Amino acid sequence: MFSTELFVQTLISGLMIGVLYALMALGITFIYSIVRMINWAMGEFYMLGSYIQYVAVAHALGRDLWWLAILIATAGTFIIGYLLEPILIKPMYARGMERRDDYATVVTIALLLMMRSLAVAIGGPNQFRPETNLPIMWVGPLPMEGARVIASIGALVALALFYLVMSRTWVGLALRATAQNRVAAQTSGVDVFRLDAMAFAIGVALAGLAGALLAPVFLVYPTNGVVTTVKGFEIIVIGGLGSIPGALIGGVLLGVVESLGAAFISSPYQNAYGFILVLLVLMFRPYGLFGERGREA
Amino acid sequence: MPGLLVTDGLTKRYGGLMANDGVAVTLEAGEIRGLIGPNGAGKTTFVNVITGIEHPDSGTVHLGDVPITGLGSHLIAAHGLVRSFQVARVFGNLTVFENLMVPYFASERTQGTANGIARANELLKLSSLAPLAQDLAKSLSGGQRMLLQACAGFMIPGVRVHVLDEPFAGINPVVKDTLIDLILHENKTHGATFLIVSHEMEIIRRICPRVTVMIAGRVAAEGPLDEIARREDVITAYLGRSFQ
Repeated sequence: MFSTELFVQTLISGLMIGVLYALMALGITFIYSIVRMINWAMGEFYMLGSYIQYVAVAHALGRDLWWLAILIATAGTFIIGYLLEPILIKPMYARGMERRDDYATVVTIALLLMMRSLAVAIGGPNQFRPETNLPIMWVGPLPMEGARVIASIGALVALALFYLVMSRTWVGLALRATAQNRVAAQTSGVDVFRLDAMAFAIGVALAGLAGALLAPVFLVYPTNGVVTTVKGFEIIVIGGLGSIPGALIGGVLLGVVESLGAAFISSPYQNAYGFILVLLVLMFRPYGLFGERGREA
Repeated sequence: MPGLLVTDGLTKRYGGLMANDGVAVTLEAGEIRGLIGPNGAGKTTFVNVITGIEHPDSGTVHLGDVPITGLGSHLIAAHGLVRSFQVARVFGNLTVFENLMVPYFASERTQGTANGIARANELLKLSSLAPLAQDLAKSLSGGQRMLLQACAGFMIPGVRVHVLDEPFAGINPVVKDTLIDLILHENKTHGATFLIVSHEMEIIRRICPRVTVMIAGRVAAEGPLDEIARREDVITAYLGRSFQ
């Protein structure tokens, strides 16, 4: 039965999870647009963020300081990304390197396996749930878990912050320039390798933030990044690889479509609706809603 | 004077082809030098090698006292040598104004945002791109992109040598004159040194007191254009032997 109230509720919950999907997709597409590689270990940085958040809350800060734990988790994944990039990714641009995509794929899949194994080795195959002091909150007519509301708000704040950095700072200007033309940026004097590390770190920090925000909702365990990563890639196909508006709008669209499908068609197939959306986009706009047909190598 | 930009024995091979074979060129500070030669003579290879896009097999490049051989192009730009490309590489989805600010902020010698904006506005006026400052660069014509690319090079504080690869190719006469005026202005007021690769002999004759001729990967001649245009080997290379 269709009811306006249910529709509005579903729309709201779809939007709320959509901004978190968008965060993941933004990380993937942002790294791609600067460093020109797909980071297959995105979900593992999500996982890393959630573990840092859990450990910080459970063993150091306590449940009242959950927000500080989220900041620590984001900063932690940023720093780890910033340190890893020059070691793992930069050799991709070494002289005479052919098939950069293949190199990046192999390296990031190796990283994925290593991080997952490390999580199992250190924490075991268990599920953890970081505590929070957040009460149930009312979003319009909808009662929701506090952590879920905070996760959406946190994602929105991060997206706004990302937008400000990109549009208002000179680092943002340099990043936008590099995304458009790497060689021209380099000949303009832009140190693209430093920007690579920066972009990789920002991208994985977005995943880490998503992991930390969602840790109380979707829990903390070694493979908790898989689902969000798959969603992230779905969104990239929907929005167009390398397109930042595509990542944002695709993320929200996917969240809404999944929620509406689950509420009005059949809930066990929730994850399938996203793929139907992907198929439709591929049929009518194979380069994504905001993607470009081709780009300069 | 030891020269501002000095290359010695610069060699670059592609498989069996000697694209550059022991190229030795010296540019004095404040000079506007033309670099001419038939297609395939190795001019663009030379430009790529001195600006760090490609790496020489042997030989050296010095900028002043600094050896810049084989450095990355952003480091070479930081040392004060920048280039333009035959097909202008502008940032299409940035505004014209932002295109100028990218190289300015990328430099370590940046002297405050206000100075950068002032310089950008000066160059926008000189290049008559000022009315388009807030437009996206992808909306510019080919000639305007070439102007923008040149201006972007002038934005980098402390750049001493500008290497322009075919800046006049396929652009309309008005833009051509604007670009020439811009080059002469930067040369006069900032003492900028230029190496200009071009096939446009009229322009080369007008603005370059000396030219270097490359033929088959080597420097074949050097001197005022009218003088070397009489040399037999140069004529042969351009027109073929049957003309004689």
